[in-house]
This record gives sequence, structure tokens and C-alpha cells, in this order.
Amino acid sequence: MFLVADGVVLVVALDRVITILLNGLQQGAIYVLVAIGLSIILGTLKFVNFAHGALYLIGTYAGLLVTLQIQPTGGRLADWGYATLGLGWGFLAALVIVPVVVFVVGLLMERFVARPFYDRPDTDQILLTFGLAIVVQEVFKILFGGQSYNFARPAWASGPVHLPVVGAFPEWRLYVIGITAVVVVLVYALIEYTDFGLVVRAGTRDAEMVQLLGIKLSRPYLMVFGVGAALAGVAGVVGGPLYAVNPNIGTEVLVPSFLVVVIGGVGSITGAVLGGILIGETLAILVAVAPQWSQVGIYLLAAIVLLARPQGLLGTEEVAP
Amino acid sequence: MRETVDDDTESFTDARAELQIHRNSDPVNLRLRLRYDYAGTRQTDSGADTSDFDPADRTTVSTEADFVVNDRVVFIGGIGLTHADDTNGSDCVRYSFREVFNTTMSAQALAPVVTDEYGDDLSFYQLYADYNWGQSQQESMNTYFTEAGWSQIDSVATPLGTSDFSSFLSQVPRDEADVLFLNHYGLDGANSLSQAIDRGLNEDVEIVMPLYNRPMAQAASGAIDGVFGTAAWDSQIDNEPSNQFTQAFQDEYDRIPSGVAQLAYAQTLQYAAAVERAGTFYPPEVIRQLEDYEYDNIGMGPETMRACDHQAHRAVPVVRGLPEDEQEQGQFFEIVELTPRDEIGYGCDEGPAAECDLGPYE
Repeated sequence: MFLVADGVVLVVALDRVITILLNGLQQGAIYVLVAIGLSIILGTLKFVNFAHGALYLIGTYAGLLVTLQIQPTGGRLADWGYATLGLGWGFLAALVIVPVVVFVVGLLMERFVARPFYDRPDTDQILLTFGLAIVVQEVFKILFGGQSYNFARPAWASGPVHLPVVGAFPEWRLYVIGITAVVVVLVYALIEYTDFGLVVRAGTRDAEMVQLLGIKLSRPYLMVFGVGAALAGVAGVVGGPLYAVNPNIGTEVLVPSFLVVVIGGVGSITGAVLGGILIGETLAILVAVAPQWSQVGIYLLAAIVLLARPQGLLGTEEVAP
Repeated sequence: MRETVDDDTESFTDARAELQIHRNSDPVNLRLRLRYDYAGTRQTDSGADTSDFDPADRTTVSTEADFVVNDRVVFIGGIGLTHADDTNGSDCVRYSFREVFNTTMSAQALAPVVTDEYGDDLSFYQLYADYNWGQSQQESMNTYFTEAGWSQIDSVATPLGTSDFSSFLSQVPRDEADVLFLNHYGLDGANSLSQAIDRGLNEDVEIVMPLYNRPMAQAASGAIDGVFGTAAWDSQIDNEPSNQFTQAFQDEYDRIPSGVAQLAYAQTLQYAAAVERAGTFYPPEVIRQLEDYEYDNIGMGPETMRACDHQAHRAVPVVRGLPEDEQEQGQFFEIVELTPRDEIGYGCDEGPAAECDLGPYE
């Protein structure tokens, strides 16, 4: 559709192509952040964590409360007389504090939820974590009410930025892409170039052998869960201003993130990045050419990838039947 | 709506009404309790707290219709999103009534105000939620704004469940379009409007949000600044029933009631009054009391609950979003015009009503 001989039309087409690519990148970015945590937990610990979306939810609400001051109008907190809630310390404070908070939540989750279920079948893990996700969601609904809160974009990144060729583009979305890129590089370096990462990778390949060599895996596993959770926390803070905040956002982000893991391959950070970009770009391209098929398209993409490469694009082992 | 009588007598001493709406197809019940003395004078009413309404509520019209027909339960709609034309058009049923206006009436009320504000011969672009209500609303906007001399560039469906509209918004031809209609409701509306502002679309086009509700306005916050739309009811409507309701609600719940809360109360009282007039809870008799009933006591001026399509014909408030610094708890809009019912609506043989076949009483 863009192969037009006329020079002027070609410029317009290029502008559209770049806009679509940027749209795809920013849509995929949040999924990448959530999916990396999901993927390394699933790949390393073999634990199917359907409560990962709940960690995103906790991250978003925590981010909201650190960044701004809100007036709860529904839920128990309002009934208990909390007319105003939140620290109002700004977005950068949230970006530092929230991942730490969600990291701790992740440690607790590993110790008290995941660890007792490591040797149980996937179905048990799914039931447990799915139930936990619902509990967390409902607790937030009880406390904050079912209504949505506005997580205002930081003043320094609010509104459009006028880019060459593309024109007006939401500035915050560029930050989302940037923050995601930085976080991905950090996590990649952690797994690829540190002793901790070496143990984790070795444990992923053959846990029994690693333990026979005298390395205790429970602590690295705990850390992996914490890091995965912290990533969901980062995603919650970064993604919070993109959508109105309500207790359902955790569930909404979970399904596309699982698709990213399926497409990219379990346990692969590069795979999660690739899967996220593919899903984002598929969405953006379909919106431009066949909008009604945009949601269906990502599932179709996952189905095609699974048929061609059941282990995912960069996964090393097939998902057990 | 399902009713029970608390004691064994046929008196109306303590009637409970259970309203059922649907949230993404899941039924959500609201229980209301009305107490009367033996003379039929209402003593107290309490219990309807609609603050739990999720702005993402999308009433499933067909499920609702099945529910009222199969269970022979009188349903007075208008709570949540029964705003599509089909509800009291091709999908109308004898056991369902609608107090709130529909997409045709929203468009009829908006067209003169919006064209007067933004000018003649403009081009508009629409995004709409791809389900019955969104389709109905974009059709109505196209019909009445085209009639008013504007022309549609395109109308694009956004799949149900979309929360990131940024890619759709990037397709809006900002050089070509003068106005953008965002036919999204509740949470979808809050997301699409905020994302449109974030993309700077308001620098090049005027944005119209044809149907507002309060949770949506609250979630969209400053993004609604200057954006036209219609709303079911607003506490700023200054007449005796409205003021009385606002005061009573504030006394009870210590906050300003939303338009949806007003609808819930008005409908429950409407139903209770119909039961009183009928002298029975027997649905066919209650229905006969509601049909062609004229009333002027819920704060929206004189109204008729039309017998031919069970659609209330009443005024439609056209509102405009307030800037963030002027928004207060429960106060998000300025009322631009309360379009009287004579200037909107259609005959029983026109528009959606022409397709309505209510079916039998029993």
C-alpha cells in the first residue's frame, strides 16, 4: 500500500509507516515488561503465575499513591474517612519506590504461595494463582471502589511532542518505550553477565545438576520471583498513566502478556522482547488496515507461531503436552 | 426489576425491589427497599447506592430482553447503558421501559448546539465501540449531523475490549477532519478521550463525547475540558424535584448524586407509584399503568412514557466538560442546554419506534 511512485505520496506513506511502527512499539512495551517477569518465572521456576497481573495492579495503585494524592469516592477507604490518600511525591519517586515494594510482595508471594506449589501440577498452580489474582482484585475493589482513577501523566511528559516526519505523538509513550528499553537491558545484563544470572540459567537448564554441585537454588529462585514481580511493578507505574486505573487492569494486561511469552518462548528475555514488539506491531498494523480484526489478529499470530514453532520463536524447549 | 412483599398481606408496607443490570454480561443486583404506610404514602426509601457502578458497564441489551421476557419481570431500563436505539426499537419488549433517552435523541439534542458552536459545513470523523450501542450511536451522529450540513469522512469500529486507542487515534486525519466523535462509554470513553488529548488531537480537531457519565468524567479528569456531550441527569439541573433529590441523597450519603443514581431512584419510585396506581404487583396491570403515563416529578420536565415503544419522551441535557481546576467532587459539567422534548424525538411510526413490536401483555 505504500509502494507509490509519486514522491509526495511516498513521504505521506513513510510518515504513516513510521507512526504505525512507533504505535506498535509503545503498545508492545508494557506487555514486554510484564511478560519478561512472567517468562523468567515460568522458565526458571516452572511456576505458572496467573497472579502476575495482580502484581501489575499493585504496582499501578502503589504508583498512583506515591505519585499523586487521590480522593477516594467509593470503597471502604472512603467510608473510613480517608478523604485524601497518597504521598504526592511525583513520578520519579514512584519509579524508584514501587519496584522495591512490589519486589517485596514478590518475595512474600514466592515464599508463601509459589514455593509450596512448585512440585504440584500446572493445573494446581493455575487454580491457586488465578484465585489469588481474583482475591487481590476484589480487595482493591473493596478498598478503593470499582471506579476508575485518573493517573495523570507527569507534567514534564504530558501531551504531544512534535516529532519530525511523524508529527504529534504522545510524549509519555516515548518515555514508556525508553524506560522499557533501559529496564530490558538491565535485566538482560543481570541474567547474562552476573554470577546470579549464571546460577539462574544453569538452574533453568538442569536444576538437579546445579544442586548436586552444591549450589542452593532456593535463594536465586526467590530472587527471580522478586525481580519478576518488580518488573510487573515497573510496568504498573509506567503503564498506569496510559489508561484509567481500576481493579480490572491486572487481568486485562495478563492475557496479552501471556501471549507474548507464548510467542517469544518461555524463559527467554529476548523472546519476550520480540514477542512484545510483534504483538504491538500486529495490533498497530491491523488497526491501520483492518481495525475490526485488531484484537483477533494477536491471537491468530500466537496460533501461527505455535503451529510453526511450538516452543515459541526463541524458546528452547517445547511446552509439555 | 423483581419485587417481593415482606409480610403475608397484600399491603405495600415494605416492598423490596431488585434491579438487575448487566456488567459485561454479568448480572449485578441493586436492592432497594421502599416503605409505605397503609395510606400508601411513602415514608422512607433507602438502599440504592449506585456508587459501585463501574464506568465500564456495558449493558447487554439482548440478555436483558431475554431476561424480562422469559421471567415476566418488569424491567425499567435506563440504568447503566440502555442508550442504544434498538432497546426500544427493534428489540423492544412489553416488559421493558426506558426512562433515559437514546442515541437518536442524543444526536438530535447535540446537533444544533454543536453546529452552532463550531460552524457549518464541517467534516467529522468517528470512532465507535463495535457493539450494538456504539453502532447505534455512530449511526445517529452520522444521520443528524449530516442532516445539519456536516459531512462524515469515515467511521471506524474499535473492537470491544480495546483499552489502548492510541493506534486508532493516530489514524484520525487531523488535516482533513474538523470534529472527532468518540462513541465510547464509561471507562472506554475515559481512555479514548484522555489518549486523544495526550496525542494533541484537540489542537487540530474539536472532540465530542456524545454520551457522558460521571465515573467516566472523573476518570478522564481534565481531558473533558470543553468537550460537548449529553448526560442522563445532573445535579445542577435547577428545579424542585432535582433539588429535592440532590438534598435527600446528600443527607443520606453525604455526596452529590450522579445521573445514574438519579435514574435508579426515579425508576424505582416510578415503578412503586405504578404498583400503587394498579393496586397490585401483577405485571400486566403495572405495565398498563406505566404506558402513556404523563409525569413531571423527576426533574426532567414534563415526560410521557410512550405506550407504543415504552420510551420516555423527555428533555435531554447537553453538557460541556469543565476544566480540571473547576471540577469538584460530583461536579464535572456545565449544562449548556436542557433541550426540551418538543425539539427532539420521533413519532410512533418513525425512527426506532417504527421497528418496535412490544408483544403480548401475558
